[in-house]
Amino acid sequence: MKLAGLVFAIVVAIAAVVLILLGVPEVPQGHGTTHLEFASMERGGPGSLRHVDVIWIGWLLGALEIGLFVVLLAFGARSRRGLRGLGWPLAVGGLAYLAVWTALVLAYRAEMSGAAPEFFLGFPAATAWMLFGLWPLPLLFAVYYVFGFDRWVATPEDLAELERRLARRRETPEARTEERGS
Amino acid sequence: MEELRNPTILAALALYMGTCIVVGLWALRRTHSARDFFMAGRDLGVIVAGMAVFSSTLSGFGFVGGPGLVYAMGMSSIWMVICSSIGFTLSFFLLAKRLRLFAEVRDTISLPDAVAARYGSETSRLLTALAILLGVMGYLATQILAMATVLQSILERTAWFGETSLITCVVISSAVLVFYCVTGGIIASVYTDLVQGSVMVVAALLVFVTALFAIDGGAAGAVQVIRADDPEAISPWGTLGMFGCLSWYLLFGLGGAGQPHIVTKFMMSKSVGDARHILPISILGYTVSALLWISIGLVMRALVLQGMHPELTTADAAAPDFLQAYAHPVLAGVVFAGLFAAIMSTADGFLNIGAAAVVHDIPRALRGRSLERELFWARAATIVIAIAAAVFALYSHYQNERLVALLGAFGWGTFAAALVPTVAIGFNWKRATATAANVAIATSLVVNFGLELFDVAIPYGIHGGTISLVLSIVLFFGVSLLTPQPRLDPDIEAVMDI
Repeated sequence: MKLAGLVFAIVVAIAAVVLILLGVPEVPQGHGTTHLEFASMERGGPGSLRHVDVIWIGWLLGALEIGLFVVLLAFGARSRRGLRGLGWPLAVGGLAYLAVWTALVLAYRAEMSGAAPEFFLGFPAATAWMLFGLWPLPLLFAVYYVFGFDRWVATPEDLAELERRLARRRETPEARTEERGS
Repeated sequence: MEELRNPTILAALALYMGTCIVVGLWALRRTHSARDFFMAGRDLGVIVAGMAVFSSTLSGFGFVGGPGLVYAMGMSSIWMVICSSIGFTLSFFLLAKRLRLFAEVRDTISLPDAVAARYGSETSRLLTALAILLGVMGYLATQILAMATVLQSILERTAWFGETSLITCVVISSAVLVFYCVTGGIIASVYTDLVQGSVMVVAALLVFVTALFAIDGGAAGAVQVIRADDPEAISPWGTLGMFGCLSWYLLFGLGGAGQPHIVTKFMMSKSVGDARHILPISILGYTVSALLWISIGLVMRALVLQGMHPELTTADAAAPDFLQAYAHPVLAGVVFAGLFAAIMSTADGFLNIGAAAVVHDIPRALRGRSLERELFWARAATIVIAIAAAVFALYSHYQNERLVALLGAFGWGTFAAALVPTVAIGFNWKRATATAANVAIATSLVVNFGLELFDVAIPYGIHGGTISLVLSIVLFFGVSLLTPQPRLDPDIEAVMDI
């Protein structure tokens, strides 16, 4: 119940943050407007000013989403024997994920304040954090899955125990009756 | 060479469609039962399964709509791409093991089968099957219309076939799709997915390189041009803004675990352990293919801003215009084949799960057993669903464009809101109850349909599907905790203990 309760709590928190956000009036054209010269394109409304009052609500929402993702990874990997040592690797990955997200928001905030942006591989720093940080970082969890499958996802002992339990069930009088019936 | 552009594109399409037909004929000899038709005999190798998972995920939207969104909104829609790394991983952590084990202990051949086994509820099976069927009709109609529109745009540039009508294009493209889906069921579907996924990867890599050379300074040059016009367009949020992007990140990241045409494939591998090899293949295939999405969109926006290319008539013309103007004819042929591959690889999965809902799940829910001669009826249902979707697409195109959009709303967002709680959470949480699953499915249908029907615009560009997803998860937990703890069947409990 602990992990399920945590999932529930995070989703409720996400709902609460969205409700708080909806209470803050959005600036006009806050989520884009038609480009002045090219009708098939959009522009970012009044520019980065649209995020001044809500950027930390945005950071919180993103952080909650990352928290939800990481807790759900644990939720899916968990067995009757708990997380079997996966908790710490997930926590480390989750903190790194959160750190990259925070770096992205801080870089964008610096650009909002008018500072000349730094560039990485041709992209402004905040966008570079998104493309080269937030995108590849969750691959760490995929690495856990690929290389830790036998240890963290489905151990040979787990599968053998499942087989034993199913075999025991097949031997019960009810199961034999069901099989004869079918 | 330029005069050979359209014949080359047509030849590439003909070769691709011919390959699909050959695969269909080959799969016909391997399809002997409904279990083969819907589950590929649970005998898929890791490469086939991995390619099938990724190519089912990336529909025609990724090859046309995706570049169009980047062209129109800058970086915004890239959140739908960057969530793929966490999205695939989440789906595998939450479902790959349990769905495969459910298939083993209960011989499930569809997702509603697994839902009925988990919750011991025929009502849950029925609601899941109905949600799938509604979503399938909407998705299929949009995919068929997209195929026909692209085919018509290619044919109208040729001297011989310039007058081909949209109806003829619907018939041609649907006929190939239906042929291999009817003959070989899911076996043909996943093996064509292998071909289709390979074509998509090759096409995306070639387009990515071509796009970088289409503008001075490559990617960095495109970024500078876009930034000079509107810094927000090249910021992480694009023109949509922070909250619209974050709503997509949640919906597309977590929502993948609720897409029936994708997660059903978790039941088809040879063994539970295969999942560890399928995951990296799926992520790699999707990531490489998504390069097309990003590169075409950014480069076309920059070229139009620079005045190097005339303004597009619509944003969705970004990919076709790029291919016509900047790609070598052979590459254009490969990419158009890749586009058809992207559409068909998603559509075939939908046809198969739709047929399963009609001949297996709905009859089981209503009368306790599936239809006699299930394989025959599965093939018949595949044809009927395809024809119904094609007629619906055409009717909608000519009479009421809103209809497809309306049923299209029963797409990703509805599946996510209905099936993430019911399947992704409920298959990992013993306390979840059938009543909660039914409430979550009903909520997703009502909320998504309502938002689309009443054209509700949520402030900050937040996607309605995300609101629906969050609401249905909250209700799922709440109702589960308020209803009596369910008593699980021992074999289901054993699977959930692993």
